[in-house]
Amino acid sequence: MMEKVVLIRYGEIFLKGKNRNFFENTLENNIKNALISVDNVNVAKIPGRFMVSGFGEFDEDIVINKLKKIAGIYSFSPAVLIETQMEEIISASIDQLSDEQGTFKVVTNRADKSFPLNSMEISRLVGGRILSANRNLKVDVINPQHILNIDVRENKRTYIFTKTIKGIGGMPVGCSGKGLLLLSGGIDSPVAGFMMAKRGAKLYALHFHSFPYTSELARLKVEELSQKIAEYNAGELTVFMCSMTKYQEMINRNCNPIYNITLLRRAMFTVAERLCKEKGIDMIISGENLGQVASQTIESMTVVSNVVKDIPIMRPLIAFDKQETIDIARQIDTYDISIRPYEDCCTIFVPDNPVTRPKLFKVEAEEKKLDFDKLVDESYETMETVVIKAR
Amino acid sequence: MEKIYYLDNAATTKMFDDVINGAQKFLDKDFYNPSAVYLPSVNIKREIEDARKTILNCLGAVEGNLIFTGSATEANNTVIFSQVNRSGKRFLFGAGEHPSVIECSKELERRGYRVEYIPLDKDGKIDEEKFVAMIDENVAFISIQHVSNETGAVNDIQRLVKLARKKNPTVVFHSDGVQAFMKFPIRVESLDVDFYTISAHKIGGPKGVGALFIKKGAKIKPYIFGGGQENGLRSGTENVFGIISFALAAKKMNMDIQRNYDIVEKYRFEFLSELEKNGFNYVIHGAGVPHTMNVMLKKGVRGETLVHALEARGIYISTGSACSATKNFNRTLEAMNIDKDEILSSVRISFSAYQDFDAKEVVKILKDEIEKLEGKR
Repeated sequence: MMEKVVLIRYGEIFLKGKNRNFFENTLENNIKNALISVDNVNVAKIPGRFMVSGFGEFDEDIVINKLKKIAGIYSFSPAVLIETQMEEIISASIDQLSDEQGTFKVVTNRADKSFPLNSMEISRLVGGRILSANRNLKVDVINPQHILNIDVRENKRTYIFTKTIKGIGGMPVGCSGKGLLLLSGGIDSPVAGFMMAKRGAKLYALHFHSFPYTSELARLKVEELSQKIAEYNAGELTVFMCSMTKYQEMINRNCNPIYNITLLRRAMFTVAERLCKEKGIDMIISGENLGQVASQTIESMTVVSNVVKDIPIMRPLIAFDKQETIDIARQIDTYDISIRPYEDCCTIFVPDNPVTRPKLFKVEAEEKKLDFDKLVDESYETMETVVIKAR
Repeated sequence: MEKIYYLDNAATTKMFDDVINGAQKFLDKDFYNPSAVYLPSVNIKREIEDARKTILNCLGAVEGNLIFTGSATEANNTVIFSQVNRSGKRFLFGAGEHPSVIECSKELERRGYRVEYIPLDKDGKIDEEKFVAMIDENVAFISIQHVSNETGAVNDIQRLVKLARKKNPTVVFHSDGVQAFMKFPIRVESLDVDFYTISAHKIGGPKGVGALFIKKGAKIKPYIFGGGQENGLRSGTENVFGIISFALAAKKMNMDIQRNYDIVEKYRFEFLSELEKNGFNYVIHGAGVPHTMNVMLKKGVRGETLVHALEARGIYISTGSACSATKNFNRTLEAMNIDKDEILSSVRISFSAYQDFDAKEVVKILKDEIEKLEGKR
């Protein structure tokens, strides 16, 4: 018996006492979902871990690359599963390091106390046999280049592995509530979504457009970004597309242009809160970042958030430098899409000198020049729903 | 005229009817430029993105990207000439590469770069020992085909990449996968190559479209500049019909991949058995996929003459890579140390699972024509 498997370790789930089952089940489902396209794959819970098995050796890298995108996985190791039996352990161990050179050490973990040798003895025995089988290897217990792990578990099962790959960490998507991501098409909002998905929020996205001032290409860009986000959001992202055209035209016609952006954003957050309530979504997620642009001064954020009454607004990027955000955008593969140069609804009707420190009473006075509620209703009516699947 | 046996599928394949029908609308109704901003154009752009996804899935890629090019030749040129800023470094090429790679390497030589060729073993594969001995920290770039267009020999790319990276972790590795794609399942990210080239017209798609897989993080520069299509990496208005049909063909082949392999293997077996029954003392050069074989049927009967004689009887085969059939020698066979008379007497036969093959009849005609050429009849 010898089978290729992947062992998955989850981090913070352990901390969660009574809810542990819920977290584990959520993670298990997310893993199964992500691997659905791999033939014959099987995901099983084993004590303290998950084990993926059944896939062909051929598909191992697909499994690995998919696991890299699942929140809640702390690390994972491609391993071989063998029967707990000394000769089997030795030959599988030699096999694992047969192509390697340099220094190594053997680390054994024996959970099955009925096995006659203790962990030190197993390590010593296996290490010696590896040395005589592979002349290019030397032992170094302090700072080895390769660590061979032997994990002797109950039921005569032993896992052997050399590689531990870091997962993205965080919590399984779906166990920290639902979040409505305000998705613009820029660099920041996909990153904000990723950060929250990584903390276990199940994402939904709301995109505002000003068709026909914004193009169909801008929409395609949002769809492609959504596809990337979906990879981190348990395989899909529901995107709500809402038109702000009429509202923007009315602001443009009636209000002092320096307030254009502030007024627009107040309407957007109003729509967002209403959508959250209707869909049972727990929070709004925004890519805002303190001081980055005029609409993101603390004064602007205060005046804009003022319209949201009952739901928290999460701003995971609030204290990031732009470069830090860009680094993550590259990591999640959204950067190249985000920098495509299409107008979005915040970049049309932009005044030359937007107000950076708006006062609430002045903004409210401007808003009174419009039939705010009716216009928001009308925007809300334009809402379309698109479900985007991961690749 | 007798029935036509097209046995040159390594040169090109017949397009599938349902692929032509499926993509037809992009020649008439949906003719729009995918870069334009109105809805019908953007919808075409969506279809292109779906095609990209389909092909990436067929390659087993989770993280990497793919750009469409005007041919596999262009994809190969794009990769190779992206590397030219790295002077003082060594560039390694398989000795049996396709002309679209070899002619690039010769151009690099003319420009003064250090180009070296990796010898082949007797089976037509890269000689692993010699390959490993060639790798050091000065090697910047390696290009090795996955499957030989001449002999069908299969290189273990995954292993070669691993061996190369062990001695030089920063080396850039390209593989020309034109003859491998859809012959057997490929997991391009397991191969761990930086770049992988494929072509539509070898898998039942149209001519004029190829694609280049780019591993996540791999650096590449455009070869053709212009309107910034394909993320700026390959300008020029997209060949929409070509791209969509490429994806349709790949999808179809991907579903049939095992079935096709079995059929082709059967054809090859029947062909060789029939040759034996008829007393042929044939010699096969190289070993690999059953789809393509380079074979000397009768020493002294020139391949070129035989090809033309068979053509008159409705059997289409080739003397070597169709792209270089006009040149007198065969580089791949030379690199395998096969003697010149034997090379001149060799032909390439390549099967397709989508065509009927009657080994008895084909071998009968072969025998007939060879006897004529030998003056026995």
